Amino acid sequence: MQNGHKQVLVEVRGLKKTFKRKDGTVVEAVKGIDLDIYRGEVFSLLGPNGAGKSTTISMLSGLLSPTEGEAKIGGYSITTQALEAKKLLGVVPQEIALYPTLSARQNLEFFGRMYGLHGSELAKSVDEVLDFIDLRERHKDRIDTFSGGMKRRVNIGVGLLHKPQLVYMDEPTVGVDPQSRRRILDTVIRLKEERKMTVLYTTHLMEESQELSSRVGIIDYGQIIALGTVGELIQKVGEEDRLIFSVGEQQVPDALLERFRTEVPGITSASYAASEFTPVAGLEDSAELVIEKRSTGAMRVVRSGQVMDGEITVHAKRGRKALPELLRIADEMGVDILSVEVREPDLEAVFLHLTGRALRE
Amino acid sequence: MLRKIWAIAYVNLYQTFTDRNLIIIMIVTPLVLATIISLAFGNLGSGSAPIQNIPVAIVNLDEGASGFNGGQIMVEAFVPPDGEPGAPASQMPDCPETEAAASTAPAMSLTDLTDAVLLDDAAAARAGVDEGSYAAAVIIPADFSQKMSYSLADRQVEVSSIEVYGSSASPISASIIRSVVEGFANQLLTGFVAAQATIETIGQQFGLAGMGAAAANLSQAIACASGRTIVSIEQQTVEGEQADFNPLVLFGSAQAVFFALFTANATAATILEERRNGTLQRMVISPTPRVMILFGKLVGTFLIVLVQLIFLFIGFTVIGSLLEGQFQSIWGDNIIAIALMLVATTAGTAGVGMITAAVGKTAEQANIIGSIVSILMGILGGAFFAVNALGDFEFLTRLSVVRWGSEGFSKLAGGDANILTNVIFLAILGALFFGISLLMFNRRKDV
Ligand SMILES: Nc1ncnc2c1ncn2[C@@H]1O[C@H](COP(=O)(O)OP(=O)(O)O)[C@@H](O)[C@H]1O
Ligand SMILES: [Mg+2]
Repeated sequence: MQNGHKQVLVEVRGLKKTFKRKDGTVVEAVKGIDLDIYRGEVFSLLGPNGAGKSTTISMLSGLLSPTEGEAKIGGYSITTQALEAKKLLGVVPQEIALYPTLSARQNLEFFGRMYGLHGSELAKSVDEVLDFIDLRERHKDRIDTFSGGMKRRVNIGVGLLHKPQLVYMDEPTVGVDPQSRRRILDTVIRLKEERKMTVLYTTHLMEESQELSSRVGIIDYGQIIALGTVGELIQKVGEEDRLIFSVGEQQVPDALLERFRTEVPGITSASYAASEFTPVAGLEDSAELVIEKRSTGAMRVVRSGQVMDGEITVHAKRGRKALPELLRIADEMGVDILSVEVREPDLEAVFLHLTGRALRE
Repeated sequence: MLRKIWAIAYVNLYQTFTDRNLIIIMIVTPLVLATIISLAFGNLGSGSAPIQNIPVAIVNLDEGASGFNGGQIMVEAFVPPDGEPGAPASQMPDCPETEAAASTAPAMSLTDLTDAVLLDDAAAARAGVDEGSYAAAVIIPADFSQKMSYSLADRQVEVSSIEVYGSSASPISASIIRSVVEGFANQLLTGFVAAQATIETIGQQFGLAGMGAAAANLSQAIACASGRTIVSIEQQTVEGEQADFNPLVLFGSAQAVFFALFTANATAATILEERRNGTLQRMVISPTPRVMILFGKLVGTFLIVLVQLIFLFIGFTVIGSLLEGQFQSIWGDNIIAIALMLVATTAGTAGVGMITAAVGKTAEQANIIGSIVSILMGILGGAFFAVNALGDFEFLTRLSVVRWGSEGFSKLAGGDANILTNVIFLAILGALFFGISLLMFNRRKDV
């Protein structure tokens, strides 16, 4: 169980889950995952929707039985020593799982009892959790009178009641306003720093992974495609920045891209992409059609064949340094740059590099 | 472990008994119905009912939906079919008179309780109430039937929006009418939805196409029948005279098991609701064996049904005694036998509830299966026709908790305390059904 000075708390080997749908089709939601989570770290599983994050969490908490493979928590098998394994574990499910007509306190008390707490020990744990999630004043109010953010906090609180060594949090910030989200992220940091807990955190937002985790596993189509610290993963794509210039509906001459590549030092690639509006079949003859413009969300009228949302993407060793020169060349070539975005290498870039797709597609 | 079982049961109890609607359906509605039936029943106590012939105006604006007009069924409950000459001709086939109903005159019907007039105009009906001509106006909205069809689509029984415009001058009469209308609408809706769902399910299971027309007829008939149970009690000819006929006894004994079954199904189905809410998953990921979770649900269901039956028993007894002017227990005076029957009936129905929850994949599905099972058990229990018609299949009736339950309560009401067989069979059925449901739940590896 020792790995250097690190102690393995969760050990996952060849974990697989295959669902059979009613229509006979088979879904391989998780295709064989190997993973070690060390005591005291925040490990995040980063992947797009449908990657298999929740299915993995469900197997690791004993809700779904694995089709193949095995996992151990603190040395206890989740399939054959489930009760022992479950004692070490707190879970914050993706969806809010609370009794809406019971008060916050009643919910906490009930689930505390499910972990064997009772009497003054239970009362003390509930009070502590209420303080931790900052809902002491509203403890007697029914859950269905709470805002979404408050429900999320209770949902988290239930997972912490029995002071587990290990907590799973499955996309706890989905559908939450920015303020509550910040609060949840701070909670995760506090769990690690103050309580020395081990956290398995899933998300489809690379910012969250990047901020919270000691290590990240990138999961796609049921497989871990990369695993390591944020720094290690970013090294995989090299140290390049990505510059994105929006040019709207303007045509971009190839000569511009060529000058970018040859005249500016440190540029490794420059490419242009735009979406061309094609009307729905049968509507080709309509002179004008309404379409939603992606970047702003505003509606506007476009013509068939019109070019929209043009973007020049440049990869550069030191993007910010190259920027003035690039803008000057664009100006010379008569291309108006509407906006510029400089992306330092991040997990998004890692995902793009590994899959050819953006995380948030 | 016992602590956990009790914690799970307690949540169920708490949720049930803090839910006003559930209490109304479980306890208040049956008691109010029993009271109204007793009040309206002429030869109770002093001989004449204290409340009779409440003047009511009915306006049926219901436009019907897919060949079904719920409003019309309701109108016919209030206004005798051959009654008011001004009544608009019904576009719908009337509720078919069943043979049984035709041969035995109803012992009591809504027409005794009320003096209903059918009007066309809602405003005129309300004006009539304001002037004091009517104690209440019952206005059935245009979308009444349509709403019933909607509620079928989302498998949700939605209490419909019949307006009861009550007179402030006669508040008691007005609230009696309100309870009757609400009870009627609920019953109609439940019967209709249950019947439709049953037919649909059977149709799907056996791949029967083109059941459409038959289905519509059948569900109308069942809706009629379930609507009728509330407004008229068929007089049962119990071997001769019916002099001491107490409607509460009849109502109580026959309905107690059905109410208990309904409650048991609904309570056990909360296990499926909890799966949808994620709270079941939360229990499963805690260090709590599944068997304990199911035991918790069983204990919860058991206690809720028991509380309901006890309340109904006390309620019927109090109402009956008040009306008779002297103490009168509806199920005789052998307290131990009564207690045994209550507990045994509770055990039997709780077992049925657990099994419907084990078979169903969603709470809605479990409710549908629950009503199918209740109807089947009712049939086997002799609630709809004499069971000896089953001949060689008589043994099947032994699987019916309705048979053992209602027979037991009837025995008690008749002064016969020899109910041991009934108690034993109810207990065995309860244990058997719970055992099967345990096996079924445990076979599911994924939650
Ligand atoms: N019970 C199930 N039956 C069939 N398919 C499922 C079931 N649960 C999940 N899936 C499928 O498995 C894949 C992974 O789902 P999930 O683990 O929920 O992804 P994530 O949490 O990463 O968004 C998806 O394609 C999903 O549709
Ligand atoms: Mg998920």
